[in-house]
Amino acid sequence: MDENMLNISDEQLENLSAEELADLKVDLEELSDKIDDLIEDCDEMINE
Amino acid sequence: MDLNYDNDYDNTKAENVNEEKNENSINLERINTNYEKLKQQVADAEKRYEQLKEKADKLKKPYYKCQYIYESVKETGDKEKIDLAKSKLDEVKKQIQEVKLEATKEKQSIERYKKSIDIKLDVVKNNPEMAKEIDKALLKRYERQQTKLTKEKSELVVQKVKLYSFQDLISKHPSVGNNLRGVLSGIQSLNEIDEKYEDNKYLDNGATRYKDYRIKVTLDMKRKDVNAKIEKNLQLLFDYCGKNGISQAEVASYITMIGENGFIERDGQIDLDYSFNKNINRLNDQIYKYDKRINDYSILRESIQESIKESENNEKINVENNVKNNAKAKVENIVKNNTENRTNNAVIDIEDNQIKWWQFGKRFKNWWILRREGKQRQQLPSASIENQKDTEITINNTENNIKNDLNIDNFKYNIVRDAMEKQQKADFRYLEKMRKQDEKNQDIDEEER
Repeated sequence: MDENMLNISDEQLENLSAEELADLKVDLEELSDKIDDLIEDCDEMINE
Repeated sequence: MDLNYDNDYDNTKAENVNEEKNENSINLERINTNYEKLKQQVADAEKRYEQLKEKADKLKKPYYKCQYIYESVKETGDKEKIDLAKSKLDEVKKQIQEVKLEATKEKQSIERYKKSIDIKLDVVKNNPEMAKEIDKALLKRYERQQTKLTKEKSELVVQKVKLYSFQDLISKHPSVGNNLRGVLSGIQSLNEIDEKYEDNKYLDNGATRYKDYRIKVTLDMKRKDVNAKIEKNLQLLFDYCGKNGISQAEVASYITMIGENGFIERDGQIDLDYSFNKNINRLNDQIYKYDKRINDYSILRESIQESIKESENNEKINVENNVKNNAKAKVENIVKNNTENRTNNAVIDIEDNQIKWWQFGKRFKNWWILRREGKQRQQLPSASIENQKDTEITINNTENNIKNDLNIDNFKYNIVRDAMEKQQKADFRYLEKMRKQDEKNQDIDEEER
């Protein structure tokens, strides 16, 4: 895996509280949506 | 030897408590550190996204320029120029493809951890209380996110409406359209001058030097003319839009928007309708994406609200069941107590009844004994007729004793029957005796004769 990529182990997730897990989930969802937009923008330029 | 167990015990207990406290604080620290580390990783991923977005944004300018050139040379039909413009456009597209690839990798790693988190959350959600807490935390975040997106979307809608008005204004007044074209082509010229300027200069020990100073002078003069042209057209544009309620800032933002998102030239002039429609379509796409996301959050929120409602209903049902169970338990206890009381009372009753039954048994036993005695006594007179009177007296006495419990008629019947039988037997014996006496007398008479 790329060293620069997000690298979260299952062991790290084991010790998290429910609220912390929910918090991380939403953070990742938001980031995922932004990246979706970026990928779409790129596609738009590539395919235009 | 002094064995102070109490002190040893207290010391050990205190040590254990301290160890436990230390262990808890270490765990808490570890968990917090762990959470902070994960948050930092997400923040780093966010930074990488920002860098990728910046790269993509920087590539937009050369992309639109190459596209503009390509579209322009296509009209000339010059194959060599078209191929060259196409290869330059493809080169930029290749760089955009690289950005997309990096973004896709980032997205994949995010999805992987989103899945891991979802699995963990599902496990944690097996506990109804935890599920409720998670749902509440998610609902709060989703509400916040939905509000943010709704606000951003409304800004885009306003932008789109204003862009429509601006387009309408430009299309109704061709001279204003020409002013806008003048500004846009001036910016395009400035960009080209800037590129040539950059190509012509180099650094020598930190000092800027020019490959060809004459080119520099020519470019400076051209820039001055272009700036003047932009300034003149812009002022006319501002004046006219100002009269129609569109501020200078708004006009500047539309020019930037059109300039950044590219425009093309057709028939020797900039195609404004193409540029406006392209920007309006882009805004529509963005608004559609926002609607989709806002709708997704609405669905998520509804589903979470239902889940919370369901868990609250379950809690309510559990409480009601507990109340019912408690009430039932109370009723059962009361019933049990009453039953026990009744059982106790019943035991007492049974004991009372047993006395009664015992008394009855006693009476029955008495009756049985008496009956047997009575039978024996009834049999006795058959052996001797002299006992008959005694038997009758005994029976009569017995009869008096058991008068309340037995049927006296049976006794009377038995007595009469026995007495008759005895009388018959006595009569037979007398007749037999008399017959034997007659036979004896007859024999004596025959001998005498």
